[in-house]
Amino acid sequence: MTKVHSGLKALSKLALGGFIAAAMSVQASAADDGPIRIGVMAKFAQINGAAILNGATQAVEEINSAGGVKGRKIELIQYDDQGSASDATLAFQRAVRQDQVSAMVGTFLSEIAITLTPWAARLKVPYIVTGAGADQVGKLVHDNYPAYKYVFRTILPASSTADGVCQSVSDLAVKQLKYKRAVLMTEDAAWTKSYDEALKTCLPQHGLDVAETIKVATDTSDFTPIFQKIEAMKADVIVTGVGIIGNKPVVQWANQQVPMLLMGYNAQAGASSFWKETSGATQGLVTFTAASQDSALTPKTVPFGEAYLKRFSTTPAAHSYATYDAIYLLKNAIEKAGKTDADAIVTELEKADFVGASGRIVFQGPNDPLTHDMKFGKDFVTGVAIQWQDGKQVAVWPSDIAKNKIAFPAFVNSAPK
Amino acid sequence: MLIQVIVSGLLISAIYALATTGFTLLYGVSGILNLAHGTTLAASGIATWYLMGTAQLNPLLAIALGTLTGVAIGLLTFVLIIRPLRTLMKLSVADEHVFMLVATLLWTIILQEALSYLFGDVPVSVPQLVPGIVEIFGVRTPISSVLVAGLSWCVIAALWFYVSKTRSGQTILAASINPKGLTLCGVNLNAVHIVVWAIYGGLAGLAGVLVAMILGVSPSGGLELTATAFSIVVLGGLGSVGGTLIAANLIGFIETGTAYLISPSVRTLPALIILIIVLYVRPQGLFGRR
Repeated sequence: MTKVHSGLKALSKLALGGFIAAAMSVQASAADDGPIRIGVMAKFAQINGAAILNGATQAVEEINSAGGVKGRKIELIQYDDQGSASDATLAFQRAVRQDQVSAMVGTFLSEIAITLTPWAARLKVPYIVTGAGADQVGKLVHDNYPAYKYVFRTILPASSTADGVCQSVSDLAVKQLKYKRAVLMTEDAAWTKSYDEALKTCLPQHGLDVAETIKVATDTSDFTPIFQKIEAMKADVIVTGVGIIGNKPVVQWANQQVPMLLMGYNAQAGASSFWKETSGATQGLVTFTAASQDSALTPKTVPFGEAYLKRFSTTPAAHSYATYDAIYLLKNAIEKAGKTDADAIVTELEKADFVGASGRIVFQGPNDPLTHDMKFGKDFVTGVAIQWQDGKQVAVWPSDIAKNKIAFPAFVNSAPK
Repeated sequence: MLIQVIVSGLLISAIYALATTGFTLLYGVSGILNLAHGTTLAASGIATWYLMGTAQLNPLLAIALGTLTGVAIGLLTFVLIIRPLRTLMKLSVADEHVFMLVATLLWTIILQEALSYLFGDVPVSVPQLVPGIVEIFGVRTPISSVLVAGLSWCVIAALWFYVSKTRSGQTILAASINPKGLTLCGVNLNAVHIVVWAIYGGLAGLAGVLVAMILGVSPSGGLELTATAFSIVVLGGLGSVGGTLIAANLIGFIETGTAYLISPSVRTLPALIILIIVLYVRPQGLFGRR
């Protein structure tokens, strides 16, 4: 009786195993033939989130109209994180477990990207950060490699952005305008920690004394005391680092006619809609960004910018370039891997040497300090500095690409103090 | 430094005063703490920005329509949220307070989401009416900020004149003191509330336009504006217009002084600490409550 019972048990186990194997085979077959799902996440109602979504949409539409990824279409699934880490974590889990995305792209806030990095490792899904710049993301991947190998980034990390800002400010403010004294004004957020440190070291090395570093809360509404304090320091230029509070300091700088240039990095000023939102107060602002419509960093930069403007009625911001390139990197990786297996995609991304719209993208390796961040500098991604002049963004740096010179708003003193 | 603190403090206090007068007036007469206050301000500012920028309307017409947006939202809040709750649900006074707070909080989320959907959740700024700067005791100040401060005090003065010197205003004052007595005198209390909500909307609407001109507004920034208004009226005494005006100046000067003397990143902190101390020592606020 016992033998009969155990025999039946073994038979039922075999049958169940066979059923599961058959079901998995059918599911795998369906997954291999159907569209490739890629999730895009950000707060889409904000200027940077919209830039991420638009960049992804542009790339997916182009790829699908050109035949897809080896015949398979890409299905872009949107996840609005509402700027909240808890919402983002839930959406990320849903994307992988329920919607079965093959990869995730996006995220504007560094705090969210830092939260999601371990989740990408736990869920074993390739995750390309295209908006958040805190160095901690690359450091996390470095310190926890290979567990965290699934996380890559196609937006420059804060230290590389600081490097680009330092080089552009050095060429424009020190060499061209003979400025000697700056004030560093940055928002109080995760990404500005490494940004501040890098600039406080780099700017004095290039001959620009940093009189003071002023940290600004992201909910600051009145910048009057800040600007008056800066003016009292007799600085020649304000070097900014703002991503979340892009609009208010710019508008109040113009309204209060603060007589010195705003340079540095303003994440929101990269998109042309910024002119409308500030009612033109951004006239004269200089910001470092990934690329601009008039800067042919690669053969893809200008065509992408033109197609994007036609499609979305605004110019691409840095995050648009980053997300657009991220989708193409995933396409190439899946094609080379021949499958959507996460580890295979990661292996191909690590080997990538891709000329995108923002430059030549090669990722740093496991032994580099910011693993899976893009290599920065000549022959790789360099970025440009643009200035708002009469409603248009024009490239003013680097000199081999930029066709325009710095122009001064009427209230700004061009001469050093 | 002292001159800078005084000049900047006066300008920001004037905007705070105008932005909170309607809020406290509404509480004084209706007993409603409208948590959709900040979003009403933001909606008016965003409407003006849109009408002036995208629709290219004459600036004064855009400002007038932006202010009317505040009136419209004020009346909608009364008609869609407040009146149905009062008439359809027979709530006790204590329950009514809680229901009104929850209802106006939900209403502000609806308004915020609608604004985000229509315009995006981005800060926007209304162009200055008069560009340029003026020196006040050596402190360079935008002309628009001075005009906004002057206009704010003029509107507050006009409100004082209306409430204390006109028959309609006296009726509102009576409604805030003894609403039942007013009803016994044959006055339609519902009509009084409609007038009060319209005045509230007008004050909030104009304040929203001016805030958008000087500081900028965004849909998600509405709750922050409500929190500032809430702090000021609690400090001054709920329902006390005079207390609110003094508290607006106190908060404005404390915040400005903190930004200048300590750090801009902690500018709201001392005012909040003082608020907590006042609540411990004098829970009815500095100048009593309704």
